Amino acid sequence: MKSGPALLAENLVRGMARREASALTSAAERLPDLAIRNVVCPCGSVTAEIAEGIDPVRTGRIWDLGTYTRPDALDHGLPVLTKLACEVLDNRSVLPVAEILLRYSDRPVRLRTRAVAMWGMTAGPVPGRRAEDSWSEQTLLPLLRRLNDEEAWWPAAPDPLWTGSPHRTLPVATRAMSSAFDVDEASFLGPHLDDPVLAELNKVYLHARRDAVLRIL
Amino acid sequence: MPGFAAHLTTLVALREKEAIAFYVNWNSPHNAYHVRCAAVAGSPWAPLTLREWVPTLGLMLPTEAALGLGKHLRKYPDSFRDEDELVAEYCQTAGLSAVAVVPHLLEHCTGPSVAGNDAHGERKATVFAGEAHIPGGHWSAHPCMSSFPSRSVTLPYPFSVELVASRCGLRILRDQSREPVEHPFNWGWRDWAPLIGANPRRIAAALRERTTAAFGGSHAELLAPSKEQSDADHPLNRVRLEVWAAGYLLGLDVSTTAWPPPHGEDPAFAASLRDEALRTWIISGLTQSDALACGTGGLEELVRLCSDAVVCGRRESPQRTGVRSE
Repeated sequence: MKSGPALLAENLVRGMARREASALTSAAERLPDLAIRNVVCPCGSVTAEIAEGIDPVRTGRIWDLGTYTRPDALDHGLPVLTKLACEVLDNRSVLPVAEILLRYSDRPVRLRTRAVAMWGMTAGPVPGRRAEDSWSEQTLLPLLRRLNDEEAWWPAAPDPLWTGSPHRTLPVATRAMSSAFDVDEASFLGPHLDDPVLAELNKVYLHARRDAVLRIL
Repeated sequence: MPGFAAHLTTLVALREKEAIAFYVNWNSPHNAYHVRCAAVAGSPWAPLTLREWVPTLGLMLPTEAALGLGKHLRKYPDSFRDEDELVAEYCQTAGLSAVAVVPHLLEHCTGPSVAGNDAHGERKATVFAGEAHIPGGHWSAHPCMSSFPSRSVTLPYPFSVELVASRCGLRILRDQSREPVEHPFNWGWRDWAPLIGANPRRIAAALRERTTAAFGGSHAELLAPSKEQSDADHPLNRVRLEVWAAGYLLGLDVSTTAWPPPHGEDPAFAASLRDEALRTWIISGLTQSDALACGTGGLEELVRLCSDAVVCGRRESPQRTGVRSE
């Protein structure tokens, strides 16, 4: 039976999983065609500035979703998603972006993946942890709490929450761009979970996400 | 096409109480997939879902239904363009089922759309008969089903497997959801194939086995000719995995669906229909840049790959598991 920081961390992760399930199973009556301007950060070089979208390294247009997307649509009007270079998102994972567009069509939409947010948070010193240390639930807890706060705009997103900060974290797991024959598991914090505690929490996450999606479906 | 009128006579005699579509667009969200399932199952009939529009390029209705449809359409202005959705609406109201013939008897022409549908991109048939000789008895070689046969998978909703923009995904038609039927947010197969009883890692492993067997232990492939680039990382090899996954899931789906076994079919003709269904899936499902990079030879290699994947998927036992890949 887990207790203390381990239990708290698991509960936070389960909450994030349920949030993603809610995002994946949301269904607006109408969905806008969607194109997203992609800000790609090389893994390992994400600074807090990049994570805040201040210094985009490379941009490009991704996800022309929808039959009617005009090829001449201006990129600067598109929602912006900052992600790691090695991160891949499924079409379903960007459904929340479409929902935001429906709700706040008059505002700039800037989102980042959890992996980018995590890189941003860990670019500097993390209290109680040296860079070479493995993660522990204790050292992870503040980061998980912050991530939870940053993605709490979903699903309710009352106006003040959305306008409070220009940056939001997309509440979905992503995966590493895999090779021709590999199918990497999705990761709730992005592709770089080379840590036993994070890997264990990822199992909790995927299990909780599966259960929540099946329950909603 | 040869014998067009004679085919119509036969079809009417076989299904005099249903709407019969002679064409389904190659990338319509669900009905094109129904046609591909029928082609793989060896069925000359593809039951169509009325949750999607009924294809109207060529549609034959019983006389009474045609009159009823005319009356129904009079309620709408001529400027209303999506008449195919109104046909689906009418069929639902009138309790009329719709089926498509496999192969299709019509092909869409290229060029500007007279109905203002140019934004839909190229419109082509899912499986056009073309100049092929349709064997005598083809239409009666399979029992007439009015609805899509039942599936034995955990997912309680209709679904289709799709290949869009070089990515394979699942399109789920939830009852309570009011999602537009053609929305672009499909469920990626790597995470969600277990919903239909497939294990994503087994899918990828099966491709690895095929490749190893075909190329004597090397993973080098026809689509990765550049020696400077790692074969496994070649972008077209990612396309191969997506195409493989699509074919595998289609094969698995057909094997877990109660399609009645065909009788008296011509194996070569059946194989040609299946391959054409896969070919149009791939052509309509690749990004333009991937299609260009493949070229004609690469495309035919992908068709063979997809065909093998279908066979592989049909041999697979579905797993009644959750969503995890382990």
